Amino acid sequence: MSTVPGSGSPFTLDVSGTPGIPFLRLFQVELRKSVDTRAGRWLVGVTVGVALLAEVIYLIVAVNKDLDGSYGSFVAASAFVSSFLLPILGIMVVSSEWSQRTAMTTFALEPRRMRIVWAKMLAGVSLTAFVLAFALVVGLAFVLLFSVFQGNSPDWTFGWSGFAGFVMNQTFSMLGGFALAALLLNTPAAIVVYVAYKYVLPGLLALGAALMAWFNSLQPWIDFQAAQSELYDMPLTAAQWWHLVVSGLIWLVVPLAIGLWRISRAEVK
Amino acid sequence: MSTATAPMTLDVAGTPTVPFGRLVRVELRKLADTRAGRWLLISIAALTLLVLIIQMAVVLGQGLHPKYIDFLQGMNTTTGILLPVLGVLSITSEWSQRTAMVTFTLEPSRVRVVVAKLVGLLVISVVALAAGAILGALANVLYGAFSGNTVVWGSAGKFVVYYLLLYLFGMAVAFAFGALVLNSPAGIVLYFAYQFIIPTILSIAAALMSWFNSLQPWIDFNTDQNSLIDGTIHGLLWVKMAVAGVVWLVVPLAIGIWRIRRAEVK
Repeated sequence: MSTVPGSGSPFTLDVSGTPGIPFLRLFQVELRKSVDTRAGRWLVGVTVGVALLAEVIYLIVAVNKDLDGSYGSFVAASAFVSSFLLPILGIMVVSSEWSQRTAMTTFALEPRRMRIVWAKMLAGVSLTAFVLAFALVVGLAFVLLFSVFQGNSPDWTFGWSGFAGFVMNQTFSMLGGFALAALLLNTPAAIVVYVAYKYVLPGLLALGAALMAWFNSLQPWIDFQAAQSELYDMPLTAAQWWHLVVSGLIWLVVPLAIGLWRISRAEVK
Repeated sequence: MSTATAPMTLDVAGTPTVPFGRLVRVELRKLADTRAGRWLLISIAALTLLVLIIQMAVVLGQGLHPKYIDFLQGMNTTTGILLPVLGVLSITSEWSQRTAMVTFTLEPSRVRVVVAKLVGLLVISVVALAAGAILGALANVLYGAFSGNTVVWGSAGKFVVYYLLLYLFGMAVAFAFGALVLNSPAGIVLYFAYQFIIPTILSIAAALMSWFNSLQPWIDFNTDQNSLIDGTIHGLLWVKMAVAGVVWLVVPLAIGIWRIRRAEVK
């Protein structure tokens, strides 16, 4: 009658035979989390809505002013909007675990935190792909509309190099937000730092480069955004690729590495 | 023995209301003694100083000829972004940190709390400007001492007033957006869209369409403020800025205050 615990029959919960959570399921959960919260749903909704609005405005102006109505220019109109809002999506994918206090549940169900982080990153990349696909499809529709209004045949100028540059730029900007959020684990702080990095820093770097010759030769190596804008003019020279790699290391890889290290040890509150 | 029939009311009719000065002091303290607010203030001070030092090094190294307003302008690159964030947080943190319940229980007249918050932001703006004006003056004098050039002040007093307006506008618009959405990230994103995205769109439209070009100054509050930054504002531009201010400041603030008065306190 030895039902008393601790007397030889250990009351352990043996999960050694239970398989781990498949990565695909983690990915699906993270993808769902990013769109079924109020903030996430509104953000994706606003991105799509404002991009559509930008297209309509550009169409009206382009028809009236007889501007460039190429496919590339229509995609650029919605890219202008999404390049502001995608990084915020990247930020919220990570930092909402802390601000909404879901991290406890998430990391209790999957204690290997890095798998969660990779699933989140993949979810962010998927949403980026969705926004890009949306931009491409909507751009297509608007090029056709433009040609109908103008009576010309549609101008498909966009090219694979422009496309590759577009995809890489948008993905990098989403990942940039992701890295900063991992570093700070706080939504407002990450947004502020990201905006400073995106809109203020390039101006300062350009000013520094204009004033100082030594800084002018240094700038391409540390200005990730300038390096990214080169991507639209493929093919790049070897030096341009190296600028991209080095500046990307500074602004993307290093913050991300520190952020991942931080997530792996952060107290879950 | 009819104690049960004695009315169990708490009679506060004779208790004086919370004095407004105390509300302002409390709101000022709330801005600085939370983690977010304190770090924001520390970041503003540290980054502003850093910008000033770099600017000094560059102008001396390159033999440039800065004026007083150039130093004010340099410092505005950091304060112009970070002070408004404080403006957003001052209202949204009541909801995100769930302190609204306590705040509005102790002072049920919500508009008084809102006005106290606005006065708190005004105080912070004045302090930030005073610190910036003194630091800028110091930098200008130091520049003169290091370079041996004559120090150029321009209309220093006028510029200080312009920058005060700039800080106040930034704070107030940010506060209005915060009040409109009552959510920190959304308020910050909205403010930055107003500061960085909308002026670009409006400028492109103005470059393309001449009728819009003459309309733009009347509705683009942020671009109008550039003439405060470089000190060239004059005449009709003041009127245009006031009209644009109604669009971006008065209307959102009015809707925001209406919303705060009725918002559910969670």
